[in-house]
Amino acid sequence: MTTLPELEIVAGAETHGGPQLPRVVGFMESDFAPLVYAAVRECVGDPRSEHLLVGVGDRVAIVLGSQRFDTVTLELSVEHVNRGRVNPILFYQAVPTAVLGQIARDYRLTGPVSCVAVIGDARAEVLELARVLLADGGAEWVLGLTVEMHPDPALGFASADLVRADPGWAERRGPS
Amino acid sequence: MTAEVFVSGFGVFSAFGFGPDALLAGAFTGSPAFRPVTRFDVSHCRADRAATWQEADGYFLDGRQGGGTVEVASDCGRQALAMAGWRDPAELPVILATKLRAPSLEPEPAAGTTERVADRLGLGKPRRTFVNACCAATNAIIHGAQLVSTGVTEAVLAGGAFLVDRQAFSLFDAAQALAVDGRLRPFDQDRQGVLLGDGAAMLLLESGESLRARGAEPLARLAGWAMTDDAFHVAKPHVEGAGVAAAVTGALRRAGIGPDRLTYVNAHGTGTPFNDAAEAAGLHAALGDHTETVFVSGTKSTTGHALEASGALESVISLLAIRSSVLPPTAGLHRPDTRHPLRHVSAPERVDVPYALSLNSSVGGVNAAILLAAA
Repeated sequence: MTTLPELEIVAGAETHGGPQLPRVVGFMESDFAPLVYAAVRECVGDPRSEHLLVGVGDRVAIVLGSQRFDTVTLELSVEHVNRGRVNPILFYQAVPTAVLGQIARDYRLTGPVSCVAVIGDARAEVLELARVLLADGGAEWVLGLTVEMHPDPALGFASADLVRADPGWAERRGPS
Repeated sequence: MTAEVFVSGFGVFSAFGFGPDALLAGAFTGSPAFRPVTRFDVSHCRADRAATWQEADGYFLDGRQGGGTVEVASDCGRQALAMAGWRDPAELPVILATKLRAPSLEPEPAAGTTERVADRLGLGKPRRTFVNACCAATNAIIHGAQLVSTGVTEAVLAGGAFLVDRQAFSLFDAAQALAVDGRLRPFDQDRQGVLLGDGAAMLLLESGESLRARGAEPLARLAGWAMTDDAFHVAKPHVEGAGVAAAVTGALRRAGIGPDRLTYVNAHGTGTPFNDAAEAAGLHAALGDHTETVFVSGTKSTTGHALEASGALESVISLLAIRSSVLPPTAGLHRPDTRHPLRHVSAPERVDVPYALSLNSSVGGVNAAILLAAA
């Protein structure tokens, strides 16, 4: 008998790629990290402001979903390997948790961090994982993120949803 | 209500071959599996060794990058189902950790690998794919445990698979992360870095109710788990191991035990100064005075680092430590670090293991811990 909660979406945002996208220090070439970071900032506020996650960072999980993740950096790393000269910075930039580490640092988020690859609807899968995380008690809030790159950078996009369990869920579920 | 989670079967693969006997003969005797890489050209690289299973080289002959992943994950899944005596795979969700690859190397997306493994074994849904680097398989097992404990499913197959390939080897080599002396020596002052290794494991996780209903016996109980982030740096671990400490403490707390009950920690132990130091500091912070009594080893010293699959391989090693009452050693450990000293297992040690903890960390400050208990 499943006991997963319904979700309350506290805040949400979508960001698109292109030249207007602010860069993220330490990340080169690809829009992947800037897209994810911009969606989070749009959703919860700037990390240097009174953002939505102030004071709850130890109870926030991050889940990032995508079909192919950072195809630009992954292809760049293939080019470098094929020509026999690899930029060492690609060692960590090709890993999707790298930008999440940057977000965790800037917003002081110390909860679980997951990356899930999908075939279909990344947002639906991310929100389903959020329900499982919230039911398990490892987090009280989930920052659910999706990102998809596109050959036309302007068509790349990322989304962010800050969710928590429907406030009536714990009451209805009864004692555990 | 939350259900207790048990391991009722597993399949495992490493550079020592398939099955627990190969692992017991290799990792548990402290015999490193590193050898010169032959499945792709490493003449341009600084390092030339990895822990590869020679028979898996065939998967790379036609230039495929991820071809063998489906095969070894499927074989491990089959072993797990057979060991557990599970008859209807269509009832089982599957959670797999695997590697992200560029579309030019692998046209199929990572989640497609999971679909192919699931189709081969006739598994059910959901089918999920974790790709959060060195914590991916630990995360896959934790997510599987969460599905059982919250009552979403009675049982689930969870784990990960990785075969050493040219792309991963070249990136690690370019970052000067690989040990050019061909040895991976976690917590040793003379360490030179990490080495990669083939690895895969699939665990059948099951509720107590399901075990009772089909009259099956568990191999171990998944007593606790936790994931954390350092919130410190994009690539470096927290210098005092804050996230490691929180993950260890979280897993123990979930199990309702203190560090005095913990016997063994299978450390992430990559043989890199930053990681080893942070992990040792984190263990001290979490275990306090009990750091002197808890055995610690880094079995990547024999198996190599199986990246996305390492948490699954090392969970099985921890389970085998419980089942065999033998602790696998850290190979090649002669001059242990003196700051944050640990009770190292430097030779196979016979001891009862009621509780064993498997610990992993990855880029972005991600940490994950799984606590296994004797059934």
